[in-house]
Amino acid sequence: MEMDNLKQLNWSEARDLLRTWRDNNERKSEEVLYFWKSLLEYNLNKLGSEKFVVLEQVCIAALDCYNIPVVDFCIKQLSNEFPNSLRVKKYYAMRLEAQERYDDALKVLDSLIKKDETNNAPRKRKIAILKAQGRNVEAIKELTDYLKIFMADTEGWQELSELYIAEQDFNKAAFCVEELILHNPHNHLLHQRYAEIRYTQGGFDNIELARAYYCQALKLNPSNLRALYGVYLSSSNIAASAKCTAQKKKEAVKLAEWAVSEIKKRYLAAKEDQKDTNLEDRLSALQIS
Amino acid sequence: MSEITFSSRAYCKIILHAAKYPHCSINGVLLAKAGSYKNKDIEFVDAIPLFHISLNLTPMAEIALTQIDQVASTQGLIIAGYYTAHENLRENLLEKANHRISDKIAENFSAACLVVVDNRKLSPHLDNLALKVAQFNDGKYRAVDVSRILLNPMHTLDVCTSLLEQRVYKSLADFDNHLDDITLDWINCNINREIEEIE
Repeated sequence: MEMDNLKQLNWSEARDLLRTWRDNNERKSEEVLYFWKSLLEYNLNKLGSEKFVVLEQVCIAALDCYNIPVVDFCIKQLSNEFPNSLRVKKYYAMRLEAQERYDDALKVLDSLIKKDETNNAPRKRKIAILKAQGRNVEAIKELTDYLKIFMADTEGWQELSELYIAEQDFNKAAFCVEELILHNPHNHLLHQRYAEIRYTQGGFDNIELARAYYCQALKLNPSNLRALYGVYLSSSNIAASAKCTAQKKKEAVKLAEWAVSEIKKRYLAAKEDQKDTNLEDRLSALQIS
Repeated sequence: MSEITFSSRAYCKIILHAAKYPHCSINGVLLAKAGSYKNKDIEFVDAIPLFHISLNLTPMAEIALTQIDQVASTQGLIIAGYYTAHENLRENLLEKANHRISDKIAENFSAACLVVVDNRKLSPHLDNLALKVAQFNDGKYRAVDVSRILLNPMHTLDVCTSLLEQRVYKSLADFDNHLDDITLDWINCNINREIEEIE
C-alpha cells in the first residue's frame, strides 16, 4: 500500500487494516507506527476489546523502528492493565534487545523462564538474540533443543528451516519442511519450498522429488507461479539428464512444454495491465530445445 | 587498479532494495554495457533486484537470470555484477557474500564484481558511499580499494537521499515480488524515470 493511500483512511479503517496485518502476521512496522501517530493514539479507548492487542502490535512495530518513546508508552499501558503478566514482561526484555543490551535482556528472559517453564515465548527470544548477534550455528543448536520439547511449534520449525537454508544445510532444512507439511498438508507454499530445497541440492533423484512436490503445490494452488516455473525447470532437467529413460524423457518434455504454455498464458493475461514490450523475448528464452 | 563506477540508477536501486526490506537479506544483479573489458574499468548502468526470501535456493534464480540475460542483451547490456545486503546489521563482509550467482557471473564475464552493501553506512541522510566492492581477478574475487569506487554523477547520494525521503522504495519490485504478482515489473521503469527526473 502506498503511503498516500494510507493517509486517506479514518481511524476505524486503520483499525481494520491493523487487524488484517495481525491475522496474516505481516511485518508492516513503518505503516503501523504511521497509523499509531496519526490516528490510533488519540482513539485508543474507542478500540474496545482490541485495545491491548493493538498496543502489543504497536509496541513491536515501535521496537522494529527503534521508536523507544512509543515502546515505553505501550509497555506502561500494558503493565498498568496486566501488572504481573509474564507476557508483558517479555516486552521489557525486547526493549533491552532493541538497545543491543543482550546480557541484560537475557537476565530478564531467564527470570521469566524460571517463573514458568512451560512458557515458550522467552525461550524463543533467547534464540532470536543469538541470531541478532550473528551466532547462527548456536541459534540452530538452541532451536533444535527447543523443538525437542515444543515439538508442535510450527513457527519454530519454520525458523529452523530458514536458518538451515542460510547455512546451506539443505538436508536438514528439508527435514524441517517435512515436519511443517505433516502439520499443514494443504499448504501449497510448503510443498513449493520443499521442492525448491530438493532442486537446489541437485542430482537426478532430488530433481524428480522436486518435480513431484512442485506438481503437488500446483494442484493445491493452480495460481502458484513459482510452482509452475519449477515444474518447467525440473522437467527440463530430467529430460536432459543421462539417467533418464526414453519413456520418462518423453513425459518430461511434454510436461515442460505444457508448463511453458501455461506460463505464457499467465503473462499474456497480465499484459493488458502493463506495458511489457519484452514479453515474447523473455518467454522465448525459456523454450527448451 | 581498475575503477568501478555506479550510475545513479544502479546505486539508488541497490539502496532502495535494501531500504524496502531492512529485515531481510537481499540480492540482485548489476548490468553494464556489453564490450571487452581488458583494463577492467566498469560502469554499472542498472541494478535488477532479485530476492529477499531464502537467497540460497536456486530454481527461481535460474529463471531470473535467464530472463534478465535475454532482456539485457536486447539493450546491449550484460550481467556484469552481483550485489547483496546481509540481514544482520553488523554483517558486511565481502567474504561471506559469495553466492552461486556471483560464481556463475564470473564464469561468463572476466571483470565481474561482487558488491556488498555496508549496512552501517546507511541512514536517512546518505553522506557516505555505502558499498564494498570486490572484482574477479586471477581466479577469485579480490577487494577493490574504496578510492576506486565512484558514483556518476557525483551528487548521486543526494538523489538517493531524496528517493528515501519520498519512500520510493515502497514501489520497487524485485523478482520475488514479480513471482507473487506477475504485473509487477522487475525492470522498474517507473523508478528509473523518477531517478532521471531528480537527476
